[in-house]
Amino acid sequence: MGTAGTMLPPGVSRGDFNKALDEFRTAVGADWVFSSAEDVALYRDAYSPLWGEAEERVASAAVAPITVEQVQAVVRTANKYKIPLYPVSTGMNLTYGGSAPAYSGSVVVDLKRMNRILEVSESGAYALVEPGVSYFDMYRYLRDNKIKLWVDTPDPGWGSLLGNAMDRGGGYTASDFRDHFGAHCGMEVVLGNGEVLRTGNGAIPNSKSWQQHKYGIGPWVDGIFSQSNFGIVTKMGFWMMPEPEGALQVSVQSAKHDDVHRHLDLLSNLMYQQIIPSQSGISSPAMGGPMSDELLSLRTRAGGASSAEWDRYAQSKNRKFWTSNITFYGPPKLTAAQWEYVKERFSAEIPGATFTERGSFKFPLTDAQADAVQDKPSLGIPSLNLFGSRNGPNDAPRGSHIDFSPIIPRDGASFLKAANVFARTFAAHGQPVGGAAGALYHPRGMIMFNSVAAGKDLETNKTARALFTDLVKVAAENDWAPYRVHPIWQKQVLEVYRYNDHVLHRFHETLKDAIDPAGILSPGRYNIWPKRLRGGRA
Amino acid sequence: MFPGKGVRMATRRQFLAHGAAVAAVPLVASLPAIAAAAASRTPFAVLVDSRYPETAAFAAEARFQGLAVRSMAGDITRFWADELEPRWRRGPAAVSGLTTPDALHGLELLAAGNRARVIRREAYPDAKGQLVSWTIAPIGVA
Ligand SMILES: Cc1cc2nc3c(=O)[nH]c(=O)nc-3n(C[C@H](O)[C@H](O)[C@H](O)COP(=O)(O)OP(=O)(O)OC[C@H]3O[C@@H](n4cnc5c(N)ncnc54)[C@H](O)[C@@H]3O)c2cc1C
Repeated sequence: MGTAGTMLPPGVSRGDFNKALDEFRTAVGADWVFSSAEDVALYRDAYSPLWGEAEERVASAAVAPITVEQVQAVVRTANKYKIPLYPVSTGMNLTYGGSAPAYSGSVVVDLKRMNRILEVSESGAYALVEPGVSYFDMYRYLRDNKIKLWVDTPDPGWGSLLGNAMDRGGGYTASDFRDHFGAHCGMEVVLGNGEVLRTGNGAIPNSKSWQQHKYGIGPWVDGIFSQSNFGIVTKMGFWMMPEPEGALQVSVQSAKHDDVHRHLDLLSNLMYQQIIPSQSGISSPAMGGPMSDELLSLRTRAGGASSAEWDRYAQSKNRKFWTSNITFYGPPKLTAAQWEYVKERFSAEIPGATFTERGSFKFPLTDAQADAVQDKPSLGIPSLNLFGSRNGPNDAPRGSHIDFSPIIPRDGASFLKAANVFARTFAAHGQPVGGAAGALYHPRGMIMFNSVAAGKDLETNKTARALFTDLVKVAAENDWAPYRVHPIWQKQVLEVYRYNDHVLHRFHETLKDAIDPAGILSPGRYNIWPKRLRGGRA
Repeated sequence: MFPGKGVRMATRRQFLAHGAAVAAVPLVASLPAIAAAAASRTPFAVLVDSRYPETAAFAAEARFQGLAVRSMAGDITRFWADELEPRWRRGPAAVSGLTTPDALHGLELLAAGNRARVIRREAYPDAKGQLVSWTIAPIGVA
C-alpha cells in the first residue's frame, strides 16, 4: 500500500488516491509509480515564477508506463477515481511550464520510457516515434544507421519530437520541417475513456501510407490534440528533411532604420518563394548591445524615436541597423545561385545592403566537424551549447526565465511598434530591456521573443509575474497574443481570443466534454476545463 | 593534463571538500529497485571545463583518486549525449564536476528527468566565482 508524497488531487480522498496508486502499480509495475516527496519534487517546474508559493502548480504523483496498454490502464483507473492526469513526453518544456501540471494535484504521466523509434523510412523521408524519443536519440539513430535524413531540432535538443510538437514548438531548418506540429503526419491517441484512436490513414488497418498522407478521409482531427487536453498521444509520425548535399550559412545586413520595411518584406518574399528555405529572422545590432542611458531613452520613447535619431545613433556606434541569418541547403552550385540571387535582390532594393558568409558545409559531417559547427540547429544537429560555450567565460549565468513570445504581424511597422511597446513595458517594471528581434519560424507569422527573468525568490518572481501579466495585456491591446504560453497565463491569453463572445473557447470546452467526459486529462491546459471543474460555468 | 603556469595543485582536502570522492553511502532499503542498483555518491565521471586553468588541478586530483575525468570547453552536449544520458539509461549513477554555473544549470535540468538532483554545489575557492564544484546524484543518495 502506498501513500502519496505531498498532496492529493483536489476532491479525491486519501483512500481513493491510495487505491488508484495501487492500481497504477499493478498496471505499470511498482518501480514506475512515484509518490515520495523527493520523487514528485523532480516534476516541479524549475523555472516556475510561483516557485515555493502556495499557487505553484505541483503534481501529486507520477506514473511512467512503457506500453500503450499501460497508458490505457492508467487512464481507466483515473476515470474510476476521477484522478487528473498530466501527460508529458520528455518533460523539458522549460519556460512554458516544465514537466509540472497545469492543475495542481494532477498525476504526471511520464512517457519517457516509451522511447522506441518504430520506423524510419529513408525513401519516404519520415519517421514514426513514441513520446520518449529525444532529438538526441533520433540524431544518433540516423547517424549510426547512416540514414540520410535530418531531424529538425529546437535550440536545446533536450526534448522530444513528440512532446515539442504537442506544444507547437519549432526549429531552424527548412520550412516543411521546422514547424514541428505542422511537420507531423499521423498520430495514435489514447482518449479520455481509454480507447485508442489513429488519425489520418492510420485509421486504415495496416495502411502503408499512415506517414505519407495526413488527412485520411473526413474531418482532419489532428489539430485538436495539440495545445489541448483531449488525449494522450502515444505515437506520432514526422516528415524528415532529406540530408542535403551541402549548406551555406550567410547573413544580410541593412544600414538604416527605415530599411526595416523593405528588409522584412523582401526576406519574407524570398522565403515564400522558398529561395530562402531556412528559419530566418530580423534583429537589430543598433537597438541591441549594452544598454546605455542614451540607448534606453531611444528604445523607450513614447511612440518610438525618429528614424533620423536612430540613424545618427547607429552611425555613431558604427553598427548596422538590421541583420538576418539565412541557411541555404542543396548542392553547392544551387546554394551559390540562391545566394547570388538574394544578394542581387537586396542590393537592388536596399541601398548599402551588405553580405557575410558564415560557413559552408558538405554532408555528411564527421562527428568532429559536427562538433565544430557554431549554428547547429540550422543544420539539424541537436545541441546544449546554449548552456555554456555560447557564453563568454565572464558572462553572467543564465537561469530561470519565462518566454513571452507573441505573434506579431510580419511587417516593418508592426515590428517597430512591438519593439517599442515591449521595451517600454520592461522599463516600466524596472527590468532590463533586451534586444529587438523577430523570429520567422512559422510559415507566415513572426514571433517576438521576450525573456522575463524568474528565480527562486519571492521578490524576483513577483516582479516577473507583474511584468508578464502586463506584457500579455499590452499585447492584447494591440491584438497580439503568444503562440504558446506558460500555464500561469493560459487563461489570460485565451481571453484575448474573444471574437463572438469567446465562441472559440466555448467550442474547445464542448469538445472536451465530448472526448473526455470524466474530465481527467490535463484539466486547465490552455484554459480548457472539464465541466466538473468549471465552477458552474456552462 | 597537469596544472599550467601559476596553477597550483588542489590539495586532497580541497578536492574532498569541493570534489566528489566520498565514501559510498549505504543504500536506503525502502527505495524502489531501480534507484537501488548500487547507487552511490562516488561519481562515475568528473566533468571539468578546460577553458579554466583552475580545473587542471581538480582533474589531476580526480584522476589520482582513480576517477574518470572528462573535459569540455563549456559545451555539455557531447558529455550529455555520449556519456551521461546513456549511463543514466543503464541505471542510476552520480556525477561530479567543476564547471561554470551555466553548464551545471543545464545538467541540473536534465538530471530531474532522470531521477537525479544536485546534492552539492559550492563556489570553487580559486575561481573568482566563475566556477562551481558540484555533485549530481540519484534519488536516494544523500
Ligand atoms: C533556453 C531555452 C531555449 C529554448 N528554445 C526552444 C526552441 O528553439 N524551440 C522550441 O520549440 N522550444 C524551445 N524551448 C522550450 C522547450 O525547452 C522545448 O520546446 C522542449 O522541446 C519542450 O520539452 P519536451 O520536448 O520535453 O516536451 P514535453 O515537456 O514533454 O511536452 C510539452 C507539453 O506538451 C504536452 N504533451 C507532451 N507529450 C504529450 C503526449 N504524449 N500526449 C499529450 N500531451 C502531451 C504536455 O502538456 C506537455 O507539458 C527552449 C527552452 C529554453 C529554456
